[in-house]
Amino acid sequence: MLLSLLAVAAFFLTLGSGVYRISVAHAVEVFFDHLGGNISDADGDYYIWELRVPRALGAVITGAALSVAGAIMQNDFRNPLAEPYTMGISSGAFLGAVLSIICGISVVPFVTGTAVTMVNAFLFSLIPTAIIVLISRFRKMTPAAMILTGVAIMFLFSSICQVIMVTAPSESLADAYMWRVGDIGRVFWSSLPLMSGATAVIVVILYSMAGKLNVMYAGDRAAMTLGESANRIRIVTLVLVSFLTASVVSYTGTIGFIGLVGPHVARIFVGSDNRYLIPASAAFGAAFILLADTVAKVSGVNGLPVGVISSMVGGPLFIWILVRQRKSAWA
Amino acid sequence: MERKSTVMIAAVAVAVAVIAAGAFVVLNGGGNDAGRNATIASELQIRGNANDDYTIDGEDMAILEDIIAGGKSKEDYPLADVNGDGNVDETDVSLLKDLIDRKSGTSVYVICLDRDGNTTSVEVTYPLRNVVPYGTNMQLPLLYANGGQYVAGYFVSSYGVAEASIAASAVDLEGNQRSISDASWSKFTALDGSTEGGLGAILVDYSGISQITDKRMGDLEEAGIPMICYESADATAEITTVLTLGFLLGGDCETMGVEYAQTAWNIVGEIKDKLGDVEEKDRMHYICCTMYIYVCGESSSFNTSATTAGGISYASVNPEFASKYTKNSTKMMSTDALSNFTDADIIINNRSMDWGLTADDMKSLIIDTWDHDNGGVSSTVYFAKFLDRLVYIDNLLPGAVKLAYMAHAMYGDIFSMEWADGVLQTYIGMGTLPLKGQTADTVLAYIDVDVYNAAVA
Repeated sequence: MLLSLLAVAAFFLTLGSGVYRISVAHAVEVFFDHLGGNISDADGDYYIWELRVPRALGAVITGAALSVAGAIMQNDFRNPLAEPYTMGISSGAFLGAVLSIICGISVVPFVTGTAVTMVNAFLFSLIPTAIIVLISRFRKMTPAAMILTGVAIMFLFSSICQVIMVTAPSESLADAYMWRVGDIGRVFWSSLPLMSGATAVIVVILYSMAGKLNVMYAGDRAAMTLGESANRIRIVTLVLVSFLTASVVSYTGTIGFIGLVGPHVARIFVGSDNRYLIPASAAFGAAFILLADTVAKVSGVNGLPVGVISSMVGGPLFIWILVRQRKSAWA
Repeated sequence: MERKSTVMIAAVAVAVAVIAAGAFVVLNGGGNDAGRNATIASELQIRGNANDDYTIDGEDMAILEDIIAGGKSKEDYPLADVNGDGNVDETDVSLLKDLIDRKSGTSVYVICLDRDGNTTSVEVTYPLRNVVPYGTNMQLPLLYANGGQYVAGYFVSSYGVAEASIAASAVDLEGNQRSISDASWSKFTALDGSTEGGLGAILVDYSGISQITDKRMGDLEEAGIPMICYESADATAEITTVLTLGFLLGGDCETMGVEYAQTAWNIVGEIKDKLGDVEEKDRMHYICCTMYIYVCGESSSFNTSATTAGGISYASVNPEFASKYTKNSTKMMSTDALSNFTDADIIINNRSMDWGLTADDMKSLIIDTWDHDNGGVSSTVYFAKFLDRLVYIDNLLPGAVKLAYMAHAMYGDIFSMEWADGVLQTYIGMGTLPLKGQTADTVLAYIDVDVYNAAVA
């Protein structure tokens, strides 16, 4: 509840933050004016309604999705370092984006314009999970093997990206780097239906599996004794998490650390019961990315990508959590 | 009688020198660029061009002889010091005679920029051969002077049509637009060793000077390769660059350089004359951009060009903008980066666009430029409040053509599109090789919202 209130407060705060000069109070007024169909400040309405509101909603969705994805992964693999990106999802998405930004390649022929990067990133981010699922059909994979496979794919994709980037012109190289860092400024109203729809549906499905996820938390043998196939649940949730992550990362780029840190912070407040951990992770992730983006928008000459701020804050925060944690949550 | 004639010639020469120097300073504006070149203001950037015009001829010799005879002061004719040793004497006369005769093997002292942007003189051998250009903004002027045949190597060639006249035998040193790797530099130094007589010079656009590090400068000095550097991204500096390179290459290149430059100065003069009655308050305040979403700082060459085309830099009237955008180009990191500067009159966006386009290519290029995908965000989002005041101008075009389109963009009622197209047509008809075979239908010189709307219709 506290985290949810924080997220709402951060939403209104971020409307007044950015290069375009407007007070928080006036920005909120413009927001409600638009909702009421009473637009008196055309410029303000454009910058608040067309740019900042979808951006803020994008931050909420992105933070929530990545944080929930991290919570599920850490639970599935009983590994405090697991997060969506350790499975190669981010490097897959980045390879797709690089193919579009630097090479001008659209993997889906009829897709053109600014949608190419998004579609490429979305499809490529699913490849690592697809490989893991494929392998697991023929050979039983332990959680550790799954993670290591993801890490191997991550390195493979990263090296391909590096080869492409070494010979890239500086302009497209800068664009690719910006994408890699992650920026909520790429989220517009047109992005939200897919982002919010996919996130809502998948988070609800995952939440409905909270009981089974709690069983997973007890270990594979314990799950088996309760009649659940830990491997099957792991594969299903891994596929869901991949789609969840891909649906936001393909728009925003790879925003670091929230998938790792979000669940840890939420766990401090609500413990490891997934019935509480999933919503708490979502609320913290939403608030964290909103606040990070609020800071990012007023940093540098004319703003910085949120990924820079989230990693800058997330890194020390993670160390602080590790130092302060008196007993391991994974014991 | 003889004395009277001498006095008259001297008076005319002084007047020409003063006017040329004044024109140079005025046309370069009051920015950093003007400051750098203010020491010696010359159309043809060659020592020996005593009267500061477009060529070296008997008039320059007359001035030298007058200085030696005591009839004129060498301080009034800084370019009369042909070898730059501080004196004007018989050695200078001898050198100048060889220059007037265009004698092969003559030492020529070229006025250009050093690594710090200060004016310097560099000795090269006439006629200049086996050159290696670095930077599109230097490569194109060389090619405009029809000097592609004398290119021994190049670091990058990104524009297949515009740069087609680079000699087929020229070695690709495999650099890129923004950097010269150590491997590329090694290929460059190896090329010097394998070229008969060595490389004549490396030609560097000042915006890429950071690639010529101290160590690399040492390599050049050790190998005896002169570096000729100009801030040739600026339209007026580009004109003098073509003129100067044309002279150094000699023969038809000199003829082309002179025609290119004289035509350009006429265009510049026409713009200046026609805007003479436009009051300061009615002048257009421009913001220049490049690479789609990079905002140019006040000292950027794009800005100095737009000032030559009659505009006033928005940075000069908005201190907040000036303090934010101090570098030559700064990427917009957010889509509302220009939201507090919507009172600027026009955005002039500079993009290098190759030629030889079919109708379909043209349409695609217009749409790609206007709606360019910047990592998932269209350029139109960044310029949402400027779409009716946004123009793209092809940066590969001759400086005078760019100035013409800039003037049209800012003062369309004075400089019509037909007039600007006519300037392009003049250069196409001139015989400069990069534009050979092109027509107004194969070159995308200018894009505004109307052009875009027509393309998507």
